[in-house]
Amino acid sequence: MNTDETTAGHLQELRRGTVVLACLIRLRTPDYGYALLESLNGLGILVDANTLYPLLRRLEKQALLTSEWNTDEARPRKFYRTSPSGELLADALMTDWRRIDDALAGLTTGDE
Amino acid sequence: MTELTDRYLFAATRSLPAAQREELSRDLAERIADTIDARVDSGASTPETAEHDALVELGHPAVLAASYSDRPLMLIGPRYFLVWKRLLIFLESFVPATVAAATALGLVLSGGGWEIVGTVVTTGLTVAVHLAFWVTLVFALIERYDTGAVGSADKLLGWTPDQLPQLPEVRRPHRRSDLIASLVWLAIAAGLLVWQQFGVLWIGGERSAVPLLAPELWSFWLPYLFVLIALEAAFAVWIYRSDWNWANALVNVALSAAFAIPVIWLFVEGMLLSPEFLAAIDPYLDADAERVLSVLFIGGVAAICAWDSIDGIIKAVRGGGRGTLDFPGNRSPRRAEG
Repeated sequence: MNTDETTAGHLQELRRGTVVLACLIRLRTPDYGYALLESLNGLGILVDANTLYPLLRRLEKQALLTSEWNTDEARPRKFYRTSPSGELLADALMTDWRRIDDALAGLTTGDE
Repeated sequence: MTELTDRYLFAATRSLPAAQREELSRDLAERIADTIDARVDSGASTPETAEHDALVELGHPAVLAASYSDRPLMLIGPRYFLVWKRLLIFLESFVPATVAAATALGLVLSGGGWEIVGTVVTTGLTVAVHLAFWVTLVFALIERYDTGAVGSADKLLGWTPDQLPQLPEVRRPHRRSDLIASLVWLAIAAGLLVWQQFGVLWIGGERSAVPLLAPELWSFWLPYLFVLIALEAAFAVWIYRSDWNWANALVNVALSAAFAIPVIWLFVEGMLLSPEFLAAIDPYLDADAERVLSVLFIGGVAAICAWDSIDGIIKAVRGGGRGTLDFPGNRSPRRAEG
């Protein structure tokens, strides 16, 4: 019980930054909140609606995403798209992600 | 969109400024509608219950609104907590007591008796509560409206490594000077007790042979005070050789009480000062002045003894070493001068 909670807490922390990265990459093609939620979870990037929706707004406030209301369909939806500065951030995050991955790989092989 | 959703949107956005309200409302409406559709599509809810279930999934509107708008769900965050705590403890440690003491003094001087205790306690509590409220309010406002111009907690507290507390073994640099000061003061006190017998008043440039303290006190109370001075001296040496701890702090409190209670009692009963002395000063003082001097004397004796007791307790709590104030004569004896 307690170890489960600890594990869940650490997993959540590990994933927190990766959700931002996944959003920035995924939203190179514009999409709206629920579709993004579905596609990320479909890809195995597990994220909860209560995390994702506020995150999208925060990224927009930081000008990493731009948004536009699409009123073509019966129901208006807000479409988000990665901005140029979002692209730059995505590149930086991706580079760091790879570096950490390599470093962890080096650690694990070093152990053996 | 039905009434239930509208009510949820209203509840979630009503605390926001009008400009943000409209925008967040649209965002949330989209999310709620998509969630309802998804629940129906996946069969998690029937079309009748889907809206209700979707709103349950979203949770309390105030919590949801806070997560969308990045407003802190706390009064004072980690950045200001330590500064807030330190300031509050600092202020609460002396402001209410000081105000209460000033009130007590004022009330007694204007003729109050024991019934002022209630007023004084209430005043102290009121001041303490107000202090806590206003300090906390200011910090809560800073937490909400500070734009990040203030630096880290370390910077706010002005902390440097030089402020680290000393290790226990080098904690008592003033041990010897404390002892000497105590013994000198006690010797002076004993000397004054003898000296006052031969007159303390100079009337018309000549020393009159009027003792300050009532001569009857020599039968018991003055010897008692000499014994007390001897005990204080022994205690000062004991403190020098050992250190402050709880037992010593208790002895210190007992010694203070053994001085203050008899002296105040004798004074109140009119047995402390000699009748000749009172007769000699009587022409110079009216009733009001006598009352003020009496209150100041009793308050002074009580305050010095209380301070000394608290000082010992604080030294014990800190595990020895320096007390509340760091000056020679910190453990000075108490004199019975009127």
